[in-house]
Amino acid sequence: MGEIRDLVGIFGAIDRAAAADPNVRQAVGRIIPLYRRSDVRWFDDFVAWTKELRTEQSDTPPFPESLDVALNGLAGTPTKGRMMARRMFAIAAALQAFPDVADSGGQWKDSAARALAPGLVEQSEDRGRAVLGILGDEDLLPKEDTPEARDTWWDKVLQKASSEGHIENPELTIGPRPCAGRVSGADCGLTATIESGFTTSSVKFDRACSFLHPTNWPACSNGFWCEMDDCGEVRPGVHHFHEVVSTDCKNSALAWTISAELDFKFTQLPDLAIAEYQLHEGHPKPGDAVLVDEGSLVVHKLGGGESRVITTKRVRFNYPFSVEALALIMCALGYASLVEDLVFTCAALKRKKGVEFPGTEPTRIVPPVKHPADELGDRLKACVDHYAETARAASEKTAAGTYTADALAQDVAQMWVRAARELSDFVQLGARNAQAAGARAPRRRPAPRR
Amino acid sequence: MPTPFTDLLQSYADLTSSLAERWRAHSANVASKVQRPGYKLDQAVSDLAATAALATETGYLLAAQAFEAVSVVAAPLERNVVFSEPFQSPLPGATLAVDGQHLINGFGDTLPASIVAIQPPQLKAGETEFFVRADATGRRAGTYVGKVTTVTPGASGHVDVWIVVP
Repeated sequence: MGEIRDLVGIFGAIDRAAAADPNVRQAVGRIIPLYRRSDVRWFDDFVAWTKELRTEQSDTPPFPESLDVALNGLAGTPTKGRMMARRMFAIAAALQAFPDVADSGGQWKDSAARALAPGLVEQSEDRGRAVLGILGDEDLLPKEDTPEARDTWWDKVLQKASSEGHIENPELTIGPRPCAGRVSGADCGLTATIESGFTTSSVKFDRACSFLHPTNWPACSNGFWCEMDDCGEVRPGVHHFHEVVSTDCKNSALAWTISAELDFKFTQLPDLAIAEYQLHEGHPKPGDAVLVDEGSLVVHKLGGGESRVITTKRVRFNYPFSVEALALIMCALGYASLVEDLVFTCAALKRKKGVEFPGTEPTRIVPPVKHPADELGDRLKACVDHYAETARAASEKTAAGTYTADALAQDVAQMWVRAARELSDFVQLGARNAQAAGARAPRRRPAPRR
Repeated sequence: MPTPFTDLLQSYADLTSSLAERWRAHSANVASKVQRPGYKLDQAVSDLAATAALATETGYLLAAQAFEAVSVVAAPLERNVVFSEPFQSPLPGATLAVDGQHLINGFGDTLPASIVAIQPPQLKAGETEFFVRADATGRRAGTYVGKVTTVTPGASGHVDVWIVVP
């Protein structure tokens, strides 16, 4: 089974435990602070959405139904690099949610030790047990509710695991604390914005840049990016990619699997490489799983062989998750922290060559502007289509007796958010129209004399 | 210096002017056809539909402007203010300013110079470090790049700058 599927299973078990017990929520909040700052829960909705997305009907649950099942799945799955970091982080959070794992020496502890073993020296279960102890060590756990305190905890965990010989070169292979991005909201709380950054000397600047090109991602993401197909250049320097991501690429029909149409632009300045993406023109369309997906990956060369890596992502799915829920889903999937995989799994560990970064100097060429009236028409149509789709879905749910007051409120909120966003965009279109009208028209050249 | 209010008034003026022009063109088009001999019912229905579409669009646009007004006047909350990584001026103690009218991302979206600030705009003697700050509320995510001019008595230069809008 997929490694990410099992990780989602661990985070899901934690989520259910936190939802059921405020004390667990507080404890998990030491590692994943969103649980302490909100009443977020996401896993049951994520399971429900995954079942809706499935292209094949099945009674098989899309994710492991218990912590034990998820850990046992990982026990037989090799891991390295950034995926080992995520595995350690998930198990550290599980130790807070299920404290008996650390204390009682029971079945959970054995499963967790076996789940850690594949990423440790000699793949030893004994070392797994030792690292489990380090992850739950009360002396190391953050004492304050700050990002710095959590970063210090993570650094100390890696130092101790390294000094005891369980992990080799963690600074090179494991990297910074996972799920550490700053989270904020947009679109009335329906779009999550996640920003993270770290400084590393694990790889040289040029090598790190060579893995930014999306064609590298399926090979660098440990199975999350199933497809990243270059559909060609759609305007100068902008490439359209068809993206398919899944919690289990090999069994994508039954897993959480979505696709998106993305445009990429690559920019290069001295000591700076930028890969930016946003939804391809015309998207989202009715039925798209992803309504907002844009951001950038930046590698900045610092002095002394260090590079600063910054990732940002704005995301909203076609399912009414809150910002906090979206952030936790991104954490479980690793969807918003791709560059960590590129640096710590691919560039640092694999001998594979990347692709020469295709960035160019930034240009001041504004993308081809569709006639405002055409664009307005398209937007209005998309808006109407969206409302029609929402109404259709609501009607089906009403007929099935599953349309609740909460769902109605979510739908209405989504419609208003969309209306507000579109209307706001229309204003910009109007301004662009006026600007275009005010621009000097190109002079017609006189016809050649005969 | 433009403010949100002056921008708002200007965009109202632009919008009403734009809409008036489109109504004028539409009316002229329909009028010219009505005066022709052969103007039939199906054409009248078609023109009526076009009129309804334009009216709907006008309603949308005016409502949009009202929404923008509300957002400008009543909701200066949750601003998306972002700061860059630190940059170094080649000239210590220089006066700093954004070079050009905007910073731009790869897709051509811009941060107008009016919402970008250099901090500090005047370096103290011997100092070189500065940041770029932008109020990116409502702007698309991306990494915006541009140049900052550095000026001291007798010398000037440029620094490439960039700022990430999450």
